[in-house]
Amino acid sequence: MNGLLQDLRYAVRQLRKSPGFAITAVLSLTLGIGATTAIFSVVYSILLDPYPYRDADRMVHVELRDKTDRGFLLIVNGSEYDQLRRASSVDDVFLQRQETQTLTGGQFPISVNAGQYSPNLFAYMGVPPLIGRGFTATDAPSGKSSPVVVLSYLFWQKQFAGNRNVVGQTIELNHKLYTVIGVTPPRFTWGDSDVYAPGMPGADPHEYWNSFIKLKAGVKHTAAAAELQLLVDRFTKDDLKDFRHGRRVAIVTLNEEVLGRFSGTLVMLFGAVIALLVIGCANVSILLLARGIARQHELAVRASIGASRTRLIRQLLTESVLLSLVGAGLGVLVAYRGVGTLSAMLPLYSFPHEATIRVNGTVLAFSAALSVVTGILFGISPAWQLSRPPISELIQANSAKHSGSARSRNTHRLLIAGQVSLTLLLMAGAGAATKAFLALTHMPLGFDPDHVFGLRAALPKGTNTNWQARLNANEAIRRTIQDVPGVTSASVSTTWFPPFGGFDAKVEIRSKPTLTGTEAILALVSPKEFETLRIPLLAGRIFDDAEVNRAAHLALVNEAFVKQFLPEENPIGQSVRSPMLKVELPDLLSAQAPDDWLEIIGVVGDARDDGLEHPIKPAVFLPHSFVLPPEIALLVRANGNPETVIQSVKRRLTALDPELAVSQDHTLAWWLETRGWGQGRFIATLFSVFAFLALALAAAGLYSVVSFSVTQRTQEVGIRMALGAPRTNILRLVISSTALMLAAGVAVGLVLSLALDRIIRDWAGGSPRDPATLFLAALILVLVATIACVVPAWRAATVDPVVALRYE
Amino acid sequence: MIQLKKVERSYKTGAGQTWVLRRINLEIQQGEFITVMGPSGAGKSSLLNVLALLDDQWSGEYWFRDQAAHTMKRAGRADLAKRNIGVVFQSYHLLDDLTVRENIDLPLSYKDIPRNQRQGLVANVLDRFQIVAKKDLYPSQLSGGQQQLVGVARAVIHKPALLLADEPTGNLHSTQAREIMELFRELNREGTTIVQVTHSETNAAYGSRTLQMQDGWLIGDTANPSLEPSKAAVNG
Repeated sequence: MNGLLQDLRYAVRQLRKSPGFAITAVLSLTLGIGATTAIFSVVYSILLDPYPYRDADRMVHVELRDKTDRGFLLIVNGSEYDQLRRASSVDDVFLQRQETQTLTGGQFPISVNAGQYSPNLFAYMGVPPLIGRGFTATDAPSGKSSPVVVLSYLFWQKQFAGNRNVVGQTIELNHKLYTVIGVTPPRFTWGDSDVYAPGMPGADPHEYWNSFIKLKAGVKHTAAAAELQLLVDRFTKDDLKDFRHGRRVAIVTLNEEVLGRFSGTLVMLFGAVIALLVIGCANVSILLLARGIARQHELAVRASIGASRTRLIRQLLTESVLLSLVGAGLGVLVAYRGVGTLSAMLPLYSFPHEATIRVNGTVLAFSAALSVVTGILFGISPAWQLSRPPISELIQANSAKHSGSARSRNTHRLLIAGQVSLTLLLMAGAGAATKAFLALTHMPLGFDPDHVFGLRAALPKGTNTNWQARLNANEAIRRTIQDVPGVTSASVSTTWFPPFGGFDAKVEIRSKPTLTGTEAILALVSPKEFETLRIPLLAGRIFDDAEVNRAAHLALVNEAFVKQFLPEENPIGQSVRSPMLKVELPDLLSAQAPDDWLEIIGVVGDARDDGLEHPIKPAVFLPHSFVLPPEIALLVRANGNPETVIQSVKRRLTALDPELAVSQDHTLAWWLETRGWGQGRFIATLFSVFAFLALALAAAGLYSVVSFSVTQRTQEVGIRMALGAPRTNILRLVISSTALMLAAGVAVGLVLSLALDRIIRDWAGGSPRDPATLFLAALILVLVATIACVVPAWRAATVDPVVALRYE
Repeated sequence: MIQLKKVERSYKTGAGQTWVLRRINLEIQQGEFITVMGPSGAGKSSLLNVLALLDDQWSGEYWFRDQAAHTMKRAGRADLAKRNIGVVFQSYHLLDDLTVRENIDLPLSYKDIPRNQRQGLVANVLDRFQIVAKKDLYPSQLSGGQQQLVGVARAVIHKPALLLADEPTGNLHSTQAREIMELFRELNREGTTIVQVTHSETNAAYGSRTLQMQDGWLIGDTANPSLEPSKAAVNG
């Protein structure tokens, strides 16, 4: 122990004696360990410990997928729920139905995300409330729910200022009183509900709720999917119009559902940051080796007076570990700041909201272990090489200056080449990700999203219960918005939110009775939709307000529809219908014969309707009056700042009806950023930051090696210059030794970039195989590396030969 | 105490080999004060390096107190040297980043002696060498003579059986040199076997036996007057 303290004291003294070395080494480690800790915080919070729920690994989403392998979550009615609970692979199931309600009874109505859940929710989740209790079966005896709610933590903080005496108080939702019985803990954010109320589907077989299943321990997903497929087929066998009919059951984990490919992206980013850490460690290794060579005399003296090899290694490793602990300490501080920035950059809907991204105990332990491991890793090679100095040679030479062994020079070359290759890999990845992100943001959407915002307005529950009344109410809302100063046009857009997906439905074309398996997006819209989004009308006409009011059987189609189904015919005058328009859900009000034939009266330009990464789907646009949900979705074009106009619209709507609950009021630009290219921006930014840092570290490493080499060869340079060597000769002499390792590093980096092309393409969105990307990355790297070599080389070439000859 | 039998040392140079020690046969008794002399390149320092076990590229037999150093592995030799041998260098070879006290303490720390015990030993040596006032100074703050004094103190603190000195006064002026040589005499009287390499006849006079070397051969030994260069070459 005393020996260790002695080594520690000496290590501190050594670092204080060489502040330049210490700062460079600590900075390299701070960047590497700090970045790794920050990314690990994200990976840990999102991938490893995202959910606070008990047995979260057994909680799954059941998807009903079409042949394109995409679909929706399993919904069931009351009697299907009972059958689901009895499935042999299922441990438990809870049901959920979400709606926007209005918190009334206060000065201003507030939109509330109210979730109704089957009474077993809290038993299923296994997370005790922060205050009070969760609801149980006794709160919904025989399916009749008591008026109780559990508040979410955020809602409790916002509406009740975190008052711990909230249990027993009442809140009024849509003029109905509920007693608060508990508050969820901060990480319990299931469904992003503001309030959790008990409920159950009624006897109506068309009242469907979302279902969430927990599998029994040991049940494989394939077995569960097979069993549930039989169940779903049984549910839908008698109703071909049931939109669950013909779908394939797929079981996915919670994270697969929420993150999708983003989980792979996070893992790849973690790999990239480890590469950055390795570059940082290589830098420190280079510096230690160079410094160690200069300390060989000291090491020889120590060995001559009794220090064993182990003892010398321990002393040198103590210095390395001290460096890495200091670097880790500062790195953790960097990570604290970095985690905040990373969290802000993460696209909003790309990770579970239960995840709390922060530097917690586990992350700190990881950082501590990482610092010790990196200290040993970057220190062991120099320590091993330096711990057996040629004692008699060094003692007899009576000089403290030594040039190092061939082995140490080879180690330098390997480290530099390794740094350069990893740097090029990161730069190629950054180039690929940036290119993919730019392609995404410049992709033609087919519509103009600027100055457009969307919002949802929920009609008060229990009002406008017939079709005409609801249509009138919807139209009143739309016209009220249209009349707000700053609004150019407003449109209802029930089943399509561009550029994202819409309502996929089977369609039939009267002139093509043999066509089967035809599907299209059914977009229920106002006539103003195309003006609001600036989608061009290519042929025919748009239905007008009067035709909407009588739910005229008219439709427009997009170019993709024409190309796919009617390439040789004039689409105007053709007829199309969809059996899926005849919906029998209790909250939806349908016009007469909604599944009857629709006459195609116009063709509009293609606009993205299936996300940014998929081709445009065929689409049919019909009057929104065909099916009227209780919550209306609108798109509005403003002629000024949309954020300002949104506030004006909300005030006007409140004046129209104080109980209108307005929600999801965001610009299309916001939606594009969060759900469109937010992930692409995140990846491109991080990769670019890593690449820049890697370049800086590699340049520092090269500069150190060349500087050290120049110092060792000062006398040689002096002799050459005294014999008449020009400066260019000296420059060439110094740079030529590093040129080879630079070239080797670039070559290996290119090979790595090509070899890892598939991984980078899959998780970063872009391919580094692009010759322009690789060439640019290599060019920048070589330029920076050349500058890093030339600076010390120029110093050597400009030294006074007399000074150089006297140098010792 | 020490027996060398047919000890040889060479270096590869270009196409051939350069011999620095040729068939050295030598016996050193406990308590002797031996001086090794000869022209530059004679192999004096090489012989000292072998005796100090700092060099392990030699061939032949090396017996130290009946222990066969020539059969030991590197770690074994290092341990043998650590316990029994102290070395004083011409250039002092003190560590610049350690104080006087720390430099003297260093060999003891490598022997895993407890700290409080070491402190006592170091204090004794500082006192004996009258450098207590300098204990917290760094080598760069000392004169040449003082540095060599510290070098000697470091070499003897662990009471080695054998003290080797390579031109110990080479960088000192005469007064400082005399102080050092008087110290060696005193240590020898106390029982330490000393082998010194020197060019100085004055220094050689402190010893009880003189060895002459030339071109790697041992050509003269005052303890063996019958040893002649030709016989040394033949008898090897």
